[in-house]
Amino acid sequence: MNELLLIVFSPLIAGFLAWLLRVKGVKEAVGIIGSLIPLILLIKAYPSLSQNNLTFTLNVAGFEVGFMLSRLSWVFSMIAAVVGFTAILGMASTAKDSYEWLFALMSLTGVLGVFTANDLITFFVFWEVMTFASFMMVFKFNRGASLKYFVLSIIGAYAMLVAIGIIYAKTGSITFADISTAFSKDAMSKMLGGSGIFTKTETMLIYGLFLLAFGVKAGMFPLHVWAPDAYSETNQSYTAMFSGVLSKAGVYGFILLYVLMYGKLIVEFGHFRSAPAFGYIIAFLGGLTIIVGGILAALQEDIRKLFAYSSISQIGYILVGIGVGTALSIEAAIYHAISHALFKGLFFLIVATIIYRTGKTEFKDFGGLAEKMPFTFAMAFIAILSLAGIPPLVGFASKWLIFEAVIHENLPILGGMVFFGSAIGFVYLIRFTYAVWFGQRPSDIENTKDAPLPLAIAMGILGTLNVIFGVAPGLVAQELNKLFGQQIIGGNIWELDLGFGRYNGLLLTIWMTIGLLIAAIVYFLGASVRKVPVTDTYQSGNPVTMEYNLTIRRNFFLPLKEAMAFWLRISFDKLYHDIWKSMEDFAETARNYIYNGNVQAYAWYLAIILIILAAMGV
Amino acid sequence: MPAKVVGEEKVKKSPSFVKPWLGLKYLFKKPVTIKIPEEKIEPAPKYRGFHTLDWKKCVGCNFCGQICPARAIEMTWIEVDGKMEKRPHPKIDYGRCTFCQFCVDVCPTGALGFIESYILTTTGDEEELQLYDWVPIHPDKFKEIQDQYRDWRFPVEKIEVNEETREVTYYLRNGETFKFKIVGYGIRPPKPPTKPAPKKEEKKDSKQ
Repeated sequence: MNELLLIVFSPLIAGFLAWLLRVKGVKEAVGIIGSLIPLILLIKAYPSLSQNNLTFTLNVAGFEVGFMLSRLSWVFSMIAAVVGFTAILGMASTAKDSYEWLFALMSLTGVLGVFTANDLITFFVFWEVMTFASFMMVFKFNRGASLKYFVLSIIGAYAMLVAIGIIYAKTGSITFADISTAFSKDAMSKMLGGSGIFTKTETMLIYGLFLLAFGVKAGMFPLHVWAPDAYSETNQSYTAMFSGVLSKAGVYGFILLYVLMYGKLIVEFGHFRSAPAFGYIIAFLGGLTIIVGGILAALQEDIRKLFAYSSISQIGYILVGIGVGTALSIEAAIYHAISHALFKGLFFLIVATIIYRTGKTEFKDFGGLAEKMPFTFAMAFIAILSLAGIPPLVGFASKWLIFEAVIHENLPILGGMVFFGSAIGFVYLIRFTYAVWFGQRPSDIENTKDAPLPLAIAMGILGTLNVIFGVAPGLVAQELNKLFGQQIIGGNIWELDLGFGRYNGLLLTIWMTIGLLIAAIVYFLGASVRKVPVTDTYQSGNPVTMEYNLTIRRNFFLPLKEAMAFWLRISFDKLYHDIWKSMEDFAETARNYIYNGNVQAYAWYLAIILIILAAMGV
Repeated sequence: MPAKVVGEEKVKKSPSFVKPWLGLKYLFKKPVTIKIPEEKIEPAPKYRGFHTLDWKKCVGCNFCGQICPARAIEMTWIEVDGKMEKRPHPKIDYGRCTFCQFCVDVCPTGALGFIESYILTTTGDEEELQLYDWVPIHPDKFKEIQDQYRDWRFPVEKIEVNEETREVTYYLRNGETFKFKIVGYGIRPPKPPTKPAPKKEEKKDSKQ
């Protein structure tokens, strides 16, 4: 009971302490301990989940703030705790002052609160805590980016508040259990021909508002514009949590939509092909998110932006999985949420390391870092393989599940989008691999050192998890099966068995190892090996010195850019900017007209109000 | 020295969808207009309007005719009350005149002047078009008429030209008439006997 409270609030308290103490060494220790407590307690709470859900209710200001640790929230809270812990660990190296500790830990509290909330008020309050804390993290670095993020998030959050208001007005309850029952009862009565408490319009409105709210947070396609700026203009260790966990709050929200009003939405919207129509909307937007995020990621010239767009792209998979709406696809989506948190957290920690060590962010300044940062490179190698979906890593298992789920439901358009996204994932990762790790090394990053210890530990944790969950995909799958209380993904811990397809992580690892051994034997039995300097290379048979830059660092995908030129001109970022500019202009215009300094005008306003009152018969 | 160029970003404004509505702020303001039939506008003092000519001062030097950029001035020999003026006077064609008033500046005796009146409207009738071609009247006269009406119109209502007798009659607005005869054009004086035959007879008579 108190554990739950401790899980949620210990990061906040630790953050506060770190902020107050501001002693170097102490604040880091306090922060890390604060983020470690939820992790330990969540692991400790795991055995008790099978008996009954942990709940806790807090009476604050007339509201009953309820927390509940169900299996679903445990899974998401574990994502938050693990990635949050590693991000905080990374921040021990990269954070500049105690301000960052306060808000990074506050956002961890926010996101844990969102995942363990048992009613909509708790959900909303912690949603706002999370938004505010992450806004403050970005605000320190870039005002424009943070305000863009904040305004969009606030629009989303208040859309959610309106939806909560409608639900509360109709059902008179805010706890998930009551609302869920109310909606299913409503759906039932609707199916039997009666009129429920929610009309079709109201249901659509609530759905639309929730779509807006969770879409903003998740970075869904037309609402993704804040993500590239906010993810890039902040402490990159924090971004590991920002992208890895905070965006999962949106995903969790979509799942909550299923939990609360699945039956009602099906009844009202009907089906599109084999998927529920309302889910298909989410899935289709998710598919667009994959494509848009992927293509834009490939065209970025900034390492942080590339991963920001990549993050958007990967969220698209999760939305597709959630949208398709079968038990398998939702399980696949949650699996991908886990694996995305693991590899994207790892990626941003790598980015944090690179930026921390070199102080540079753009691809044009990098090259040949693999020799100088071997550990970071090894971790990047794991992350790259994982994101691109190379078999023995977790990214493959989760993507494979999503592909299978989409194909099984016979949704060709979504399938095309998902596969395209997988291809484009390779494309932008090659850009990262090539421009940062290989090729010539610019002379000003000649003396780069490897990752600092806290970052190395954090990367090590995530890298190990990537491998473990990849080799033993059943670990996660079995756990996810428990969410639904039935065997959706069969097999043991090494194997995923869907009935129409199976993936054995261990066997595959063994075979790959054997294959690599054979390849190694062939390689090492071959001709003698001699190390040559990087400039001793081809170049149409011409001599090369270090003055020649033979590594392509700018406009790597220029032909792609040219091919997509028409589509790239359509920018939602610009659209929102125009809308915002118009609103600002409107405000200025209205101010000039209404507060015009003319006393007679004010007298006229009074007269008009009186006329209106007279017309209303007051 | 490098030329001073203002940066484009300072000059170029970003377009707006809403700002044009600020143009509606004049909706409740007093419109800036002059209701011409009811209200009158005062032209500036020394507004370049129609010409005046002091016939006593004019020496017929034709400086005005030479400087006129539109060649609107023609020297005219005039006979008033049967007595021919000693010098030709400028006749101004308002069909060509640009109202630059170079002629006034150049006039050595100050005979040619101008006045603020500037309105002259006619129909297209041949008779009325005569108004555009006149030998200006005396400044004091013009001033008198202008002060009387203060509507800045041309002081002559009608100019009647008798083709045969070459007699010109100005019907001024205050009812007065002003008559003279045009006996010739150009700088050179016209040949005095307009009708040679009878004059010859007279001469013969006088000789006799």
